[in-house]
Amino acid sequence: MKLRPITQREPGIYGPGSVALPAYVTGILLVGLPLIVVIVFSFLQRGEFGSGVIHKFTLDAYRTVFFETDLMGNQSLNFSFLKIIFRSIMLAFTVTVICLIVGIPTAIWIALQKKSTQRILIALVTIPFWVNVLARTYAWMLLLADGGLFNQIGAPVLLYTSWATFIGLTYAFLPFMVLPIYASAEKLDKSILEAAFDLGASGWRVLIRIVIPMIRFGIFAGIAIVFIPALGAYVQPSLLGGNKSMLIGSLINDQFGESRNWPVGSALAVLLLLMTALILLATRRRKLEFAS
Amino acid sequence: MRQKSWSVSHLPVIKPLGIASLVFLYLPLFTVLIFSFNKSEDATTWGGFSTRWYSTILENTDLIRSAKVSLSIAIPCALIAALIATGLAVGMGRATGKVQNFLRALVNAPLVLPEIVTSVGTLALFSLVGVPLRYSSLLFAHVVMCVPFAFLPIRSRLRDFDENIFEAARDLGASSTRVMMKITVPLLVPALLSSGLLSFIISMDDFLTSLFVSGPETTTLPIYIFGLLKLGASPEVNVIAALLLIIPTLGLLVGITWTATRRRSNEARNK
Repeated sequence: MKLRPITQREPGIYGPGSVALPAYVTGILLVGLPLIVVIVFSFLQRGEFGSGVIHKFTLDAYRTVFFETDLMGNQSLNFSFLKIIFRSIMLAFTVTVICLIVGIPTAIWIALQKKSTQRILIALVTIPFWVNVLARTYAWMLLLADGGLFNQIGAPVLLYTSWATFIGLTYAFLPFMVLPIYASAEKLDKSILEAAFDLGASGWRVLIRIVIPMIRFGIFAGIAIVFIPALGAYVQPSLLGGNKSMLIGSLINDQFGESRNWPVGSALAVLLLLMTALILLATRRRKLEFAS
Repeated sequence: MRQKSWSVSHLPVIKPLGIASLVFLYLPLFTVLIFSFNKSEDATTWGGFSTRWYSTILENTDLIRSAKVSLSIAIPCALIAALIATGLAVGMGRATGKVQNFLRALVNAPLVLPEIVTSVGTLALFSLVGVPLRYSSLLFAHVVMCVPFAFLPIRSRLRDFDENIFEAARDLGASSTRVMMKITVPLLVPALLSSGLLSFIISMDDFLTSLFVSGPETTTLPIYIFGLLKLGASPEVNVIAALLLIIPTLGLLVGITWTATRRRSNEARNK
């Protein structure tokens, strides 16, 4: 029997390291590999009958996304795709901003309650997140439809417009914003706020100079986990938004379905992946700057 | 100078916005719930109380068939995902090597990647390798999506334990397998339950991955419901949406009460 020094920390303290193998295998085969396949497909030629690909290198897919060729063979920027990408970014941005404006106060409000009240309120914020996204989206169809409840009390019909998509996405992602901000607001030392208040700081000043800087990590996390899924959303735009305001999620779905151009769909997915990476880097970098 | 005890209300806009967002979160849910008991043929006009639409959905064979498909995927998915995630948490321990960090990030990537990218990727991979879109391919796609969620409660429970328990066992000569079977796994039982439950709900709810990876025989409940929703509001969908709302909420409430009582009895025991 081998005796080992007590300070030695090794991976195997909870059990043999090999039990992690199934996770590694699924991670490599079913997360890593699909991403590589998407990247590879985006550089291949469209399959002859639409579905699938021909294994020949080409930049056609990216060319289709950014440029269009007219009958004379002249290339110009393809605004139809760029417009959809731009619209998706703007919508995700607006949803994130509104979730911040509503989510930050909500999280702070919950964090400053009694412990028992906090638990109840957090459960209340979490429950909608566990309700099927289709049911939650349907609820807004009921409220916003022509002859729907909001319409019955005199509001304009918003169903099948970008407004409905915007409301549906804000609704779906508000809990995503509240929870991480709450997690950092919960650690707020109330006596600091009290001290600032006693020394004559106004409520707004306490909020902006003390509370918000102290919960910034939660805010960055919230921005990332709202913006990323909002950018690639599919369910809410296709059920609430109607046909006029297509977004990148539906566009990718189209390329793999009706339009049958897998390389273009893959190229769009790669663009979405790049934007995701940018957001993750941006929110992470900030964290380090503040920490140092 | 005025002396007054400090409270939340001294911060501007906090309380009204907090209350407003709760109203915003629950108004749609209660609307669905109330209108599922609507007597009228028109989904959005109130015509009196009735449970008639609840009985019609029991006769909807397509709905029931798709619910069975969803259950037949979600139950094994929950078991497999919880097992794989436990393996990851236990096997990796507190290792911080570059390779391990990369692998862990890879397994957890579905948590941060847009689902449309991962699901399109899975479809592309399956078509490249020639995997037919059947039950097992959909099951594995679901497992991959659930593992990072299943991992969260297990890792946080492992972090709560005193490392010395495990070190002591090793120093007394227990093999790592013995440590796992006799100490780690018994301690993880409650976390295993919540990680299985989490995976079950995520698998039941998943729409996008199923949309891309399912074949004709594997129409899951969300795919069937999405098709109905495309047609607009109807009294029948009111009931389906209300059930999708009630069932997980009840499950969650039971879970929350259970952990709360456990915590209380643990606290009492520690005193």
